[in-house]
Amino acid sequence: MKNIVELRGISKTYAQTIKAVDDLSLDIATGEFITLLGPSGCGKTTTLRMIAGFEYPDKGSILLEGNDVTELPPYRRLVNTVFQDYALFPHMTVAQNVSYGLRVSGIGKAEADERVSKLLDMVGLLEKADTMPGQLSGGQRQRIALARGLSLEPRVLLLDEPMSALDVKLREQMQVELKHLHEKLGITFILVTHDQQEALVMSDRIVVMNEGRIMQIGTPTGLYDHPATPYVANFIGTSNMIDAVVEEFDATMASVSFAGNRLRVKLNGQKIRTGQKVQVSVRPEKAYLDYDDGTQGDTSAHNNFTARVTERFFYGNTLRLELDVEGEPPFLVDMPLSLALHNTQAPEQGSIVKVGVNPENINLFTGED
Amino acid sequence: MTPRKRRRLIAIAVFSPPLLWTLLFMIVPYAIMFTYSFYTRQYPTFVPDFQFGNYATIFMKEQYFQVILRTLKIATLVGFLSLMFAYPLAFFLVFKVESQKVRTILYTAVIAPLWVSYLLRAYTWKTILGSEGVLNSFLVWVGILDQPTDLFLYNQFSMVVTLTYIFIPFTVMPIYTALEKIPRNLVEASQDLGLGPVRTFIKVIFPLSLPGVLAGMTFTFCLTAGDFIAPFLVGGPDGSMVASVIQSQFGSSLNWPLGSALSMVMLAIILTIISISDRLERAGHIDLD
Ligand SMILES: Nc1ncnc2c1ncn2[C@@H]1O[C@H](COP(=O)(O)OP(=O)(O)OP(=O)(O)O)[C@@H](O)[C@H]1O
Ligand SMILES: [Mg+2]
Repeated sequence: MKNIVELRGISKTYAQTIKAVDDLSLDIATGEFITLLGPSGCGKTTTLRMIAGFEYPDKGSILLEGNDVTELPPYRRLVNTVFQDYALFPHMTVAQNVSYGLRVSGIGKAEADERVSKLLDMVGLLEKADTMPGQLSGGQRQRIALARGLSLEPRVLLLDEPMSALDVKLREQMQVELKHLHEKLGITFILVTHDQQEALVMSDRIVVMNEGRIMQIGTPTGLYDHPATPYVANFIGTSNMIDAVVEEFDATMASVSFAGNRLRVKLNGQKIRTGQKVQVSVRPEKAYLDYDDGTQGDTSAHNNFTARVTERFFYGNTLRLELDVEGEPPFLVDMPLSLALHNTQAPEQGSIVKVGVNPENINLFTGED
Repeated sequence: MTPRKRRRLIAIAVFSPPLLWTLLFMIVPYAIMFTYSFYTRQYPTFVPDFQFGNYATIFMKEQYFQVILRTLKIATLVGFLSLMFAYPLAFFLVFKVESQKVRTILYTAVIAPLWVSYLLRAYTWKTILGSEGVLNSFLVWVGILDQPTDLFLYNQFSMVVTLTYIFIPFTVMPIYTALEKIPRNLVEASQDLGLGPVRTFIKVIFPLSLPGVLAGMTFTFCLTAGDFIAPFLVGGPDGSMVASVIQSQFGSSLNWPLGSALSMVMLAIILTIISISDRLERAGHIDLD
């Protein structure tokens, strides 16, 4: 697949000192749904604005469909933006907003009208064509902004936190709609968000950013299951981070010790040596309570250690246990409630339990990334 | 005393002095003027009466309605001219000056003349345009003129120039405020959709700044229509305006009833214009947040 967007070592510094984006390189494939994910202030918006042409990089270059557009103004780029607060023109009707870019692009009135109707129909707001944006709800404005962003049939659609102003229910609904739209249109979508859930649900690939740089690029499952750094492990989902020491290792497996327990860990090509201090991470839902009753299948190759239950949190579909392992930071285990009920004895506070973890579900970080 | 009563008492205490002030020094004088405008003149004084002779005079006698027309013409000219200067200035300040600090400094510099005495600023133009003035000396020095001319001063041209200069800050202020309120991402959205700077200005920036334009022009129009110092300082015989005529009716001409009637006519015109402009502004009002 051809790359539609290529960022080559772009940097942007504000006010001489704030490095918003720092030597960032990224290839985006045609038709891809890619998400820039990172904490507030990590440079996501700045990156998007440089692709749109609202900011110019201090260094590096930007290629669209193989052409260098680094110096081109926004009105000469085949990308469109859906703004965070929608930026609908307040003095124009919904239809005028959507047709705004069409007339200057040389499309005749009849054809423009037809396309506007089609777009409004697509976002389910045809009957609002003559309404002013000020009279629309947040979700409706969002859809109009989307329709306007798609009106010129751009090659790339940029979306800067398009759903951050919506409430949770509406946001989930829009996520699904946006995903469907992407599949239907085949346009490349670049989404910016700091909501990891949103990134996981929608993206083909996720770019995790921090302090203007890329920490890791990967598919949602790839990032979730194999975070490259403790930062990513903590940023996407929840992880139990454990300080441990390497005891022994071979090509594929390592043994580490923590708080008097031994853990066998599957290696992913990390270079380690005996006695080295490392960090290992375990997702709360990948650890389980081992009742030795065969319900977890064959667990003979798994790790086991004992812990004491200190807290229980009810999450509706899961029960989260906070465990104490020999004075280490609390270790979290998520139990699906069906399982907890099946065993009827969800462990009481203060009881001693046996925790099991599959070596494949443990990630090992050397601190040298 | 209930808290509600107490609050009402406090409100009365706070608002009554300004209300009283307005009543005493605005409403009452207007009422007196209004009454006078129906009186009959009996040189050298006048007697209470109720007749429309003074108003008839204004609309029948060439010299009076001509001066009103001329005043409105000059006020319109000054309104448009100051817009021509004020709009680019405000636009430059809001959209082209990147640093907030520099912008504030420049804006203050534009507004600063308002703190300088009006008379002084009007005099400035007298020294620029007069036959001994800067402009003449320059033109003679360059060789365009053989000898100084008095064409620049004591006519409508000099009045329009002076008044425009004086009222530009009043026009800049509302336009600046209107432009500053326009969210930047609307401009970006327009460019994103393929419109260059000129078309973006025509379709987004200018329409959204109209309330400021209207307010600025109304300010300038009304201030010019009531001005009598500029005609006195730099206006010639054909530069006289209605305010100076009114002034002379209360002074040398000793015709208070006619002066009052003229004032009432001007008041009616100005109030009409203000209410029209207000209505337009409201009709075009758009929430920008
Ligand atoms: N116009 C600007 N002038 C100065 N500094 C800026 C400007 N725009 C952004 N920055 C700084 O650059 C850094 C990156 O900003 P950016 O808006 O790209 O972050 P972000 O990842 O989009 O964050 P958020 O999730 O909060 O939107 C921040 O430290 C921000 O303060
Ligand atoms: Mg942002």
